[in-house]
Amino acid sequence: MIVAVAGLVVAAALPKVGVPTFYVSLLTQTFIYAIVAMSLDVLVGFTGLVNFSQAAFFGVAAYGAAIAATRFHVASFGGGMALGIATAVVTAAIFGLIALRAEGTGFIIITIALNQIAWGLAYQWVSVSNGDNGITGLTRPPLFGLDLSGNTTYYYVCLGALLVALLFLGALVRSPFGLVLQGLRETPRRMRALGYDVWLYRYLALLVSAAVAGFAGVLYAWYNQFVGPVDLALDLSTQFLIIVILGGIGTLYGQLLGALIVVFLSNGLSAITQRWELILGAIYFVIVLYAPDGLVGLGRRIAQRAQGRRGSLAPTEPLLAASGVALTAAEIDEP
Amino acid sequence: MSAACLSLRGVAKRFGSLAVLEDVTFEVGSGERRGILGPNGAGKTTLFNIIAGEMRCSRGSVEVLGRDVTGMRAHQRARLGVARTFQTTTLFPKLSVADNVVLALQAASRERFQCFVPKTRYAARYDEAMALLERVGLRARANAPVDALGYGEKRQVEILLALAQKPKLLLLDEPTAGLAPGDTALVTEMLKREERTTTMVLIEHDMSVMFDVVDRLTVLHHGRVVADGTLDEVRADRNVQDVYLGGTL
Repeated sequence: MIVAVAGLVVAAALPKVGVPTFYVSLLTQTFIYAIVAMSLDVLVGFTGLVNFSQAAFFGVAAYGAAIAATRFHVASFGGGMALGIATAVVTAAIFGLIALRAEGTGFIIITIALNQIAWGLAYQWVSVSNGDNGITGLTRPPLFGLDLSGNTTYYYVCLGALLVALLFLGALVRSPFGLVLQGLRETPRRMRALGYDVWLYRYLALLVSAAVAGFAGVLYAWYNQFVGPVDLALDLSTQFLIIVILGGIGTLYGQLLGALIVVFLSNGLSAITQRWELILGAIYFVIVLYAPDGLVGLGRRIAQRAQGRRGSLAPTEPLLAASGVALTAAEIDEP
Repeated sequence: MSAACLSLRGVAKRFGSLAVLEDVTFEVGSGERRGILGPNGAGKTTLFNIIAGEMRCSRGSVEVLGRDVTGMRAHQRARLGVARTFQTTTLFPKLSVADNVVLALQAASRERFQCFVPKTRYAARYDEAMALLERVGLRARANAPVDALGYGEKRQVEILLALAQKPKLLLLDEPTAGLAPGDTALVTEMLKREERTTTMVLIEHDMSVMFDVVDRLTVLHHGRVVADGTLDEVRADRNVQDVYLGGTL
């Protein structure tokens, strides 16, 4: 709690104490990525669905808002946001019908394929998406009369959005519905025997998660003022999953930490070398091997040690299966 | 016994060329305690899977409380009042003991779709869970993850979840398997205390438990019903003696 408040104060003060605009901008991206990673964590960490198409939900929402603004002159914040989220939810509604026919590894593979399809559409359906050129010329709509074109203002908007998403998803996982989701993660067979329609709850979880990812997607479209196929590539889905694993699966707030590392490392490293993905991969590998429960898990274990409680530094619940698939997908994604 | 709670007609199950169940027909009256007896591989657990809806039968029909449920899925049958326990403990290991019970209790309530109010706000639900845990002496362990319980305690929670569903038909798949004698007695007591509004079907290899709890027995062998009757009738049955004493059928 104290850490959270301190973090919030620091985050609020950063742009005021002369942090360069470049970093303010990176932090804004971090907040947006963290929202997506949290929405993904609801699926991976709480419902037990390792979804590889989160970037598709994120990206179609960005496209939805961008197309609405450039073609149909939807210029309001609320209008763009609502249309973007609706696009993401509709996409998830279709994806869910297909992917939830399977579970486990089958579900993973299908979501990979679906994400590729979404990317293919964005890349090749030029009349709608403008293909590889993407959609340019987006402007940030005002929010309650507040002009968002300044990067510092937009930083605060995204910080606020992160808090809203965290509170919403935090409430969700603590609710009776959240308990149902955790039951699904643990033992779907028993859930059926208790009278829960397993398919229905997984479907609902997917829709809610997609709505939040879409929320972040629209923020991202306005942040970048550009939307292209890269915003819904499988690469990005993998990156979101890496953030979740780095931060700590099933922690929600840990995703901010994961996003911070991935965004800053990928930007920092890409300035130094073209092979930055290799280095990121190696770091990721080390984390998976030595802290498969993520940085939050590692932190907790170190804290326990420090308090003198005899706990082993070994991770409690390795999620190597999910991590292994993440690595594989990162490899096959290279064209 | 009054009207049938469970009625199986000509139920058959084949996995490829392997016939696990063939022409299984019997009825269990309301409030009855029925034991299902049979050597390993007789098809007892498959029969439970078919009654609970985890598997579809290849032929035949299943009726519960006068309704044909043959085409219904497992969760729909659970809503009708069918509950089951599993041979191998099937709980939610990372969740607390209380949350395990609450999941069973809230399965039929509206609050399972509530996603903004903290679950702990539903105090009545947790009180109910505590009362149930009190009955088996696990109240003190309510906040521990199920993972941390001993095997005997897990078996008790396994049954408690099914009882929390307030079932009309309760299927118990070897509830005392692997238990120490003391725990077996506890589980037997739990079952005997249940009111006659619940119909029970019990698979059990411990004959003392079986004879202590059930009224009637159905004996399965190679997927067929070879005997059906009161304990004394079954004990005197030639077929059953052959099955268990190595005669040929």
